[in-house]
Amino acid sequence: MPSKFSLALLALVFCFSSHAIKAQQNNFNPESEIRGVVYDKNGVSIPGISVMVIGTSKGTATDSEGSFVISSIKPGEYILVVSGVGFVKEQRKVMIFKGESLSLDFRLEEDTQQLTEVSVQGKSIATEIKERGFSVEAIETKSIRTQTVELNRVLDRTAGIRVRQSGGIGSDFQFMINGLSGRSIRFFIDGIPMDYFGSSYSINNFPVSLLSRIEVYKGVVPVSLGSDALGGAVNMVTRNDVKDHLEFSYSHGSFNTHMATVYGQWVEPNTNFTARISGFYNYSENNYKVWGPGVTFADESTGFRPVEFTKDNPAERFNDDFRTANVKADIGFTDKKWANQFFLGTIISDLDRGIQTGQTMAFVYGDARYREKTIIPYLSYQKSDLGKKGLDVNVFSAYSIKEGINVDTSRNVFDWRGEIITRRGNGGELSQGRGRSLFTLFENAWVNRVNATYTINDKHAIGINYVMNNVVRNGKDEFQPWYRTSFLEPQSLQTQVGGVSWQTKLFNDKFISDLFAKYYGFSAEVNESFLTTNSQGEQQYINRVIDSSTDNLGLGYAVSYRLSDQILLKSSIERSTRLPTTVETLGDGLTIQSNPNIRPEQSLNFNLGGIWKERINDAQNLKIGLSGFLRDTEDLLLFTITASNGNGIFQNVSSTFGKGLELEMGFNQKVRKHDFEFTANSTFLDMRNTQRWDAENPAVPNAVFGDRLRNTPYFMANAGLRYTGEDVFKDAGKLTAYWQVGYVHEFFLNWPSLGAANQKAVIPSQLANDVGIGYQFPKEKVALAFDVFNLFNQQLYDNFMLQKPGRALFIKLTYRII
Amino acid sequence: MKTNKFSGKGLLMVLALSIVLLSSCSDDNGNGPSPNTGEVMFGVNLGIDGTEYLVNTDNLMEGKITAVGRGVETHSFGMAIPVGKFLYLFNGNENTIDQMEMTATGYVKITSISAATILPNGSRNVSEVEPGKLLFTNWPNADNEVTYAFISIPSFTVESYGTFDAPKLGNYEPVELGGPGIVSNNKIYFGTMYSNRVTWDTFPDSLVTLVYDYPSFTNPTFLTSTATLGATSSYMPHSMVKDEQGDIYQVNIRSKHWYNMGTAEDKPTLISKISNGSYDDSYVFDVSEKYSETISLIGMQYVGHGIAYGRLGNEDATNEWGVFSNGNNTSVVKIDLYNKTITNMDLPLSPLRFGLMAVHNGKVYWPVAPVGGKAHIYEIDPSGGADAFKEGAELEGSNFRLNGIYVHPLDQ
Repeated sequence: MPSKFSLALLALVFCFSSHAIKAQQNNFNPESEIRGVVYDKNGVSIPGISVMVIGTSKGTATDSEGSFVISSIKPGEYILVVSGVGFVKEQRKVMIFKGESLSLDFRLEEDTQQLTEVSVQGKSIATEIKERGFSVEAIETKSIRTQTVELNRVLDRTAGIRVRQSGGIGSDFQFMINGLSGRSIRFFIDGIPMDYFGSSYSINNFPVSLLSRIEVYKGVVPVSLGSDALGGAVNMVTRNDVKDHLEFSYSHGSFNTHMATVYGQWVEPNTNFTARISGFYNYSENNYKVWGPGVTFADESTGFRPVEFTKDNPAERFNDDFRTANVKADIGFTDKKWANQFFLGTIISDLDRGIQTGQTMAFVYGDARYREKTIIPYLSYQKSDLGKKGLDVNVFSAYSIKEGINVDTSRNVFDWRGEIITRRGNGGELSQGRGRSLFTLFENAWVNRVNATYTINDKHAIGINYVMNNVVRNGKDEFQPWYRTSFLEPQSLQTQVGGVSWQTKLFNDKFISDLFAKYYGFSAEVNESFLTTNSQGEQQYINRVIDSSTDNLGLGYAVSYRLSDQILLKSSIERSTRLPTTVETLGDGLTIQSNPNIRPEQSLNFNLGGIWKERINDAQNLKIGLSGFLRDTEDLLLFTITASNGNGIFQNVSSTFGKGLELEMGFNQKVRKHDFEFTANSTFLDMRNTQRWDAENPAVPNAVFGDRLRNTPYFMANAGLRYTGEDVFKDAGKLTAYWQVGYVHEFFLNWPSLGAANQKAVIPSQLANDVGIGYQFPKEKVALAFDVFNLFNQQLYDNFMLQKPGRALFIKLTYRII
Repeated sequence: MKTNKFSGKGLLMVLALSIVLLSSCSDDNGNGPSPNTGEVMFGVNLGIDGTEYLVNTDNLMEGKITAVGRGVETHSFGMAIPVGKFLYLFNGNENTIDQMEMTATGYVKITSISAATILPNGSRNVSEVEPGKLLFTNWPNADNEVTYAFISIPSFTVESYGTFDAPKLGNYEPVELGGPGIVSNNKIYFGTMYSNRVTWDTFPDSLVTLVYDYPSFTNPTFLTSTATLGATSSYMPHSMVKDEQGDIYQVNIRSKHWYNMGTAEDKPTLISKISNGSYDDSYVFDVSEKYSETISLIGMQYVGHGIAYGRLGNEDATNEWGVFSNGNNTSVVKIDLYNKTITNMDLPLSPLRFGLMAVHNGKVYWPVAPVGGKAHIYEIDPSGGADAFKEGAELEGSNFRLNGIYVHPLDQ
């Protein structure tokens, strides 16, 4: 496999290198360019600022890191106009010579008169995304990078989103967008599906410090994110600075948690040779206190009656430590004629974590672990105006080599005292009697993405996106017999997702629409050991190949209309498909049975919403957003437990129909240099089982028809107060403080209508308070932040009988060297 | 689980919003009915999507039985046994064995025993091996060890627990042990499934019963019978039943759909008898020869005086387990063990379901949930023939699976 990979990589490098050289030769001309960075008065780079060359059609907007490049300028004298919402416009006369690359930085003053004006110029990328018809949240991370805040927590505060964690840092999580969850939600990093990037690249672990923004699409997903996301998608956009930069951060806090990040870039000014590095290291013992149902001990002294630990006498988690290290390094070129960016890079990550519990805290493990190593070489290429003005192309290709090891070799049985209470003869904490296991999964994946957009004119643009993944899996187990080892024979899986879109902007950009179509293709080749009888009547295992393939089409439309300067209306609709995964189709060989008759999950998603922004006076702004949605899902893929040890099968068990409402508001009060912002949102979901007749017996009614979906939170609310003070303590020193409250109403683990209400398993209501304070020293070199999560030390649950951490304190230092 | 309470006065806005929205989203949490009190109350274990609801009724013959708005939610996978007014069952959420008391208004949890120490791998069998003593056992693990626990009732205390070895038989290993265990004359008899763990070939020569000294689980010996092959280890329904004389009747499962029975496929379904510590070769009840099609008998439930009831599957109807178990391919049969007769009841055909049925006042209560029809509990009179039954209460929603009907005399 490595040789195949090497050849493929070499071929790609050769291909792009040849193209690059050719492009360089063909495109060489005496025209010049202007480049630079736009900062605010504190030296903070500003994205989305308009930079126009008066008297020409040349112009651009600054990128997420405040940088801009205007190329193909003929020599001469020009006036540059730099403007953006909330800033005083600046004009500067420049003289540019033949072939010159003129570097200019701007420092804009704030214009409080303009703060709430809506303008088509000077919008941040996040604002531009929000103004499209998709139901989307775009979260700029700049203001929270210095906090010790996990990505999960940031997303959890967003309307319509619920992140359900089984424990502390690095624990398993389930992400829900507007009622749909599991594999219906897909994750991307810079538009690339994250499935094969290893466990370190996960929203329960990835540092906010390394991100530029997070985009969350609800229900309807644009073509540029190529995946069979049925319920929504999360795209994490990494930082992409174009100037020299080096910073690191270190955070330390409760449960012996250490988190460190580094981010740096160096650009050789003559050749634009660029080197980037980003990395992080997270460690936590996660030894937080737990008590209550399932957190018990029992022995002869108690007559084997379970004795619960209490809040005053809690137990401490003892096998939940988590450690991960990740380095991403790139070398390449930026801002060349033949490429805006061309990088060769590698991601190397290593993860090791303990496994503390089973499905509930009643099953406590003391030795089980999971370890994973991933290495991903890749290349990326990005070029605007490739061969033709308006044609922008992005290419990404990566080869992922992953090795994951489940360590379940212990014979010990533990209780919540951390004591060994007995031993299993043949061992295995997770396998519950199936015997000890040291299962290694080898996964090699080749991920390719091509994305191109062509801006035909000011009003129309078309785009295509194609993503192809090829995955090969093998498995081995040093303890289990071969016939119980999953993926002993290699399995291969190929998915293809292609899409075309047509964006239209009309009526002075008041009307923006995206019409798109998607193609989903899936094929799997699985080698399976199969018991058969030979001609002599003897039974024997033989290898058989099972081919499985399916494809599907989807169609969608997203539209937004700016009714006035204050009001924006949005709507989107999509018929989307999610293909069954290999495990859902063919099982895992251990605990999940195969279901060759499984069908793709399909959903019709519809969103409608509006945003009203009002500038009350010079110091006060108000924003209110209201949106509703419908989700009509058929053939929902659901894991159904069929045996007492938790084994089961994936089935197309029901159809569901859901509707929901999201309400958001924000109020901003400025008092001289002190800014107070209050935000709140709430989400109400009404997801119902709409399978009228029993799936196995169509003649009789389904007993839970019309019931609210089980194990699905349906009412959530968040509120936050944030203070930002300028020139505090020292000139250009910035003080921030926040208080954030999150509420989730209680919900039932199982179908709500069944059983007496007081006899049912319930995930209780939770109210979490987080507070923090931070200070950024002048020049943004040093920032110090102090955060407290779960301030009142509440007993919080996202899942049934899986308690989350109590009060946790963190301190974080961020230091920018360059 | 306790419900967290609000804290912090600054949250009034969230509270107000919550109250407004929640006023339109209350759940359907009805109270359980208040059945008439009587000397007997029935518990019905209804399963759906991996969860079970223990509901109560004093009348199995009228009305509807439903878990909508009533019943105790649990995850026992049918691992339960009624004794007197108590039900003893596994609690899969909390890894405990619970003692539930049936009251006039339903089950109430009394206390629990932690299973973590005494049954670290769970349990696959439970039986009242002697009055006042329950025995929980699991299937042998990969090292052929069996975990067990004796629990005294109704005091509900752990009497003893541990492991014992289940010996190999040549190259064949005891992958299942159950039936459930039956005690007779200081011996305990376990039905078995001896297979090759690699190929799942069934032991090719005979039926195998494993016998230990009771209660020490020492001195294991094999009883074998070459009358047929197959598994005799089913707990729910039972592969082995004991009559009033202490004789054990044993049925073999040899379905082609049951694991890979392989060499047992062309062997007959037989009922054998174990008497005085060995197979009674003079007794063979060949059930297969009574039918023109290929059949398998999936366990029995003993009523008394040599009469048992079982579920009989038509193996010729399909080649796939999924269709076999989800189509109308099984029928309820009356088995006269003494006279070696078997009678198909004139009840609707239905899919295969596992569960424990009830015997009360000499009548059998058996649920039938046909595909394409309504599910009912039927009262069967063992003294009658194929038509000696009455249609009883309706099970509301056929996607409930009935895991058991439990009889509870409230004064015991």
